[in-house]
Amino acid sequence: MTRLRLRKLGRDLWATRSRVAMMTVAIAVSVLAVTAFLTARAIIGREITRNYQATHPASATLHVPGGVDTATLAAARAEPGVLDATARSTIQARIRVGDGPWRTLVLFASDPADPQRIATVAVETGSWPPLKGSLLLERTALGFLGVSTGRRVTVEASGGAPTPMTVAGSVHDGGVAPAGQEQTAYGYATTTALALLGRPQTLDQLRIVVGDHSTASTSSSVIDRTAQRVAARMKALGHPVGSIDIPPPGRHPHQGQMVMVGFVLLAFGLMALLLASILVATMLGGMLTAQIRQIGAMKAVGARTGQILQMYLALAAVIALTATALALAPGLALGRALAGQGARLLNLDIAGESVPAWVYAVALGAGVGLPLLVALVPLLRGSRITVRQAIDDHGADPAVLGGFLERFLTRLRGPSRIQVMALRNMFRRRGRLVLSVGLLGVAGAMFLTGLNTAGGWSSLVAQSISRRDYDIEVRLDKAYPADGLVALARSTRGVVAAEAWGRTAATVHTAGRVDVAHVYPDEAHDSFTVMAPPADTRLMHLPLMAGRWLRPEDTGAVVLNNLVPAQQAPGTTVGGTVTVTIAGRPVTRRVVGIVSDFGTLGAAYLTDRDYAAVTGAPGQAELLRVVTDRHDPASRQAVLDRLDDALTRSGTGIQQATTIDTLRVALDGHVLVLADALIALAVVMGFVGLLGLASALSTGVLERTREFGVLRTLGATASAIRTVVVTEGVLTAALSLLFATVAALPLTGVFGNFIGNQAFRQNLPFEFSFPALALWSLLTLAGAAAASAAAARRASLTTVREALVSL
Amino acid sequence: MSPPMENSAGEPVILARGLGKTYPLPSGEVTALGGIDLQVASGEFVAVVGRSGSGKTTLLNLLAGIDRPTAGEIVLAGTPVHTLKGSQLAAWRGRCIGLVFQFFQLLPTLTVAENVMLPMDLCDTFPARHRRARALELLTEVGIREQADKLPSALSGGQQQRAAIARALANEPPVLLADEPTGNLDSATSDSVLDLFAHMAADGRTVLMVTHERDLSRHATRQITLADGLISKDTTTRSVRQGVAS
Ligand SMILES: Nc1ncnc2c1ncn2[C@@H]1O[C@H](COP(=O)(O)OP(=O)(O)OP(=O)(O)O)[C@@H](O)[C@H]1O
Ligand SMILES: [Mg+2]
Repeated sequence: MTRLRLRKLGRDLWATRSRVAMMTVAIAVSVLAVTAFLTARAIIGREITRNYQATHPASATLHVPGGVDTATLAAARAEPGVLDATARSTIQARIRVGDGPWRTLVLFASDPADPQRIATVAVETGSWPPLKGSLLLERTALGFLGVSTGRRVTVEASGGAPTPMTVAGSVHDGGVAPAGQEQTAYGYATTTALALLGRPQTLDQLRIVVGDHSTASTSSSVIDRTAQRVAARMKALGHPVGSIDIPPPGRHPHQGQMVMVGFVLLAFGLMALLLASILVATMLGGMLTAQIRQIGAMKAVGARTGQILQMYLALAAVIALTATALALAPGLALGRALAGQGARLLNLDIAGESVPAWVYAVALGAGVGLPLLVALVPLLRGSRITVRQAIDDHGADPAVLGGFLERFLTRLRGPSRIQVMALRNMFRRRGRLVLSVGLLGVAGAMFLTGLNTAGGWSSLVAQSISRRDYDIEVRLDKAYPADGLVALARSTRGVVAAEAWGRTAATVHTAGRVDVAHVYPDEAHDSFTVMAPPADTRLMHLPLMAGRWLRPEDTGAVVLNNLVPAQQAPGTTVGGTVTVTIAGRPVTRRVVGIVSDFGTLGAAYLTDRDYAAVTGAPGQAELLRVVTDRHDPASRQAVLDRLDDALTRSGTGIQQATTIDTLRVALDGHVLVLADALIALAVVMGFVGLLGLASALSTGVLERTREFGVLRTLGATASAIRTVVVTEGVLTAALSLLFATVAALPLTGVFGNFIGNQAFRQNLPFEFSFPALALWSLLTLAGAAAASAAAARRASLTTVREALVSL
Repeated sequence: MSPPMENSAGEPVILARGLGKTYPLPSGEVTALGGIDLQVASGEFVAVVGRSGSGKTTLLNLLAGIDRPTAGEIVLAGTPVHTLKGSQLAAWRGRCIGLVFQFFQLLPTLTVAENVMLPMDLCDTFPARHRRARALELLTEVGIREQADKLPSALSGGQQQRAAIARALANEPPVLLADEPTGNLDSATSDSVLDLFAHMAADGRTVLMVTHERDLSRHATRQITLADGLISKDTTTRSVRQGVAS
């Protein structure tokens, strides 16, 4: 482009600097968001895999009730396809600091001589192996328990006695979620500690790494086949395998959640950028319309369409480039900060903050390419304007109203003709109106959807808590007489009601194979239990997704929760059958219903009679659910403490005892990330939308400068003109508000179900946030009034002469 | 560099044959121009007059290629205008025609001199380093040299009109077309604008001007009167090579 044309470009930019600034900010904010999300995604995506791989996770864990000895370990290592193997044990235990509350402890035990090549942890303080009588804790457990290295704690293995131990140090385990999020502490100890806790020193897990040469396999089916072969070999050697755990290969337990967050963030970010691009295109289109006579004049002196297009494209490019340049560095910084935040939530160590080249490429491509591409549409149209059209142009088109609307508006006898004029103005440029209403409406709908969905997460947690009609849950180390448990609980002060349930770990069975569970070594993520509520249970009212609930007379019937078809037994439907190994025996049952539950593990419900028949122990229970008289966390905890004492005194072994509040904290921890991300995105969306409104209104006013000039020569006062413009702005905002509200309803439903199912195989409860609607209404209406008042002020400052002679 | 302006003595610079323009309207067709034959030689200063609605602007727009005729053909400076399309037309217009409208068409963000340089820039005529000098020359010619570095908004109506004329001359077009260039100028100023046109014609250019001015005998060499889309009168008011009365 020549210097002269560059000069015109520069001066046009300067002359419209407030609008250029708005366009630049709109693009910059969205590019910043996109860059930040891409950066965070790239870093966390890389680091989550690296952290998980650094633990050298086992491909499969074979449960060998009889224990794994050196000879069998050697035999397993010798199996083709097995790269390495080791023997471990995982103990369900409880831990408390002083007389603080008991917390769930998952204790990973290994032989002191274990070479630590599989399922390793990085020792951060202290050293491995810990001395006798001490254990190492996962670093996130220190804060969760409120304990530091060197302190004494009490540990009680399921069925054992409370045992004092010393915290010998802390480790980072890249394979487990943060203690606070799971409300579970992770500990690491040797077999000597097992003895101290009153447990046999045998290691009952065989962990194997499956692969060829030196790389671990990432194929579930290869791992499955190898593990089955190893299990057959173990059986031949006289060490039958009870079941096999195969977690998703190479995937951190929270990887799915992370991918989800990344996806949602990116989708919203790109949506914001698209809105910003449309906004810029509209504004550029508006500038072209405002310059229609200038284009005509240039064409009259020989300008070709290409030359005009080039000038305005350059203008768009300057804006997009500037915005992207401005946004890139802060976007990267924000992305790194987000990655840091995400790393804390996922308990990851970030080894490097380097950002891959594709992030820059995508950010640049999106920041410059998308706005230019979208702008091409109005720019092409604008630069094709002929001299003839330019001569004929008189600002806004007069007669584009539909006949009916025109007649309606003409007949309107409002409080003032000025208001009617505002209405007529709005509809005169129907395209512009549709665009501003659409732009602001979409932004508003996304804003509302973001906040609604964030609210949906909280209400999912609240709903899931409220559907648990109990306040306290105690899991016992083995089966005890149900009547005794209930009587003991009822006699505890503060207990209103109690039920004893059957509960046992289970695996889905396929004939001829050793059962496989797709469960992580923490034995919580993706695990599966069988539960048997008493026939007259009052503590169970999960909503049915299909089929019906159990009836007392049912035989051979089972109700599953929604996680089972999703995780353990894919393809299972009501009417079909499922075979589950309970207490070592395969049991086949007909599925009569599927219930929806959130915040739990995969569960299969049997009638108590059926459960008794299966386990061969009628009147026995492993789970105690209790309703307390008061429902605040402190009261619940107090009742739990008393119940705990009573149970212990009666010789009942406790595996885990928690109040419902513990669950609530854990669930909140899981959904918080998603909710926060959605709120952040709603803010970005809202910002872009409001900028769009402001710019659309000021463009509209600018285009009619001439018209206002004429009006003023006819005696219209500045305040009358302001009234027209502000009325028009507020009406536009009100229309968009209506659109946003209506669009947000289905959007919230669809979006909530989508991410709910992606993250937790669960529809989100529909939540419409009225505070969000009120906030958005206030923002748009006030924003529209302010923006149009400012534009009107500028318009009224233009002298009549300027207005009339301006090109 | 120099545009194709000097035609051999016999060939007219503007040649229109059977030129017609009708507008389709819901109420039937409106004939704005009903088949006009016109020949204008170089050095002529033609004034087109007629009552409002008689088709003057239509004729000018057809000649400039702003509108397309519904009948007939136009050859302007040797180029059959009706065959040109889009960007060809724009480039041709930039080199061969200087256009002046009643309302000033200066770009508000360019200075007066830059406005004059614009056609040279767009059509890539004259070396870039000579353009400003040429613009100043033209501005001197129209008598507003001292306004060169002001923005158009700082000029009076008459000054803006002269700047527009200077710009119309930037690429040395053989033909100057003007639609009521003096429409909103006082009589003294419009006199000097007409003088300017007469000078251009005397220099060998062809000037065709739509006007409502009454006394043109001092300036124009020929007066064409339109009535209802047809030429009703075509009179030579002065001989072409007579020069300008001063
Ligand atoms: N776009 C159009 N659509 C329909 N009719 C048109 C259009 N443009 C011009 N006309 C008609 O064509 C005729 C000639 O119009 P034109 O503009 O050439 O007149 P004019 O001689 O320039 O008048 P004035 O002196 O008022 O400028 C008029 O009757 C006018 O109504
Ligand atoms: Mg006219």
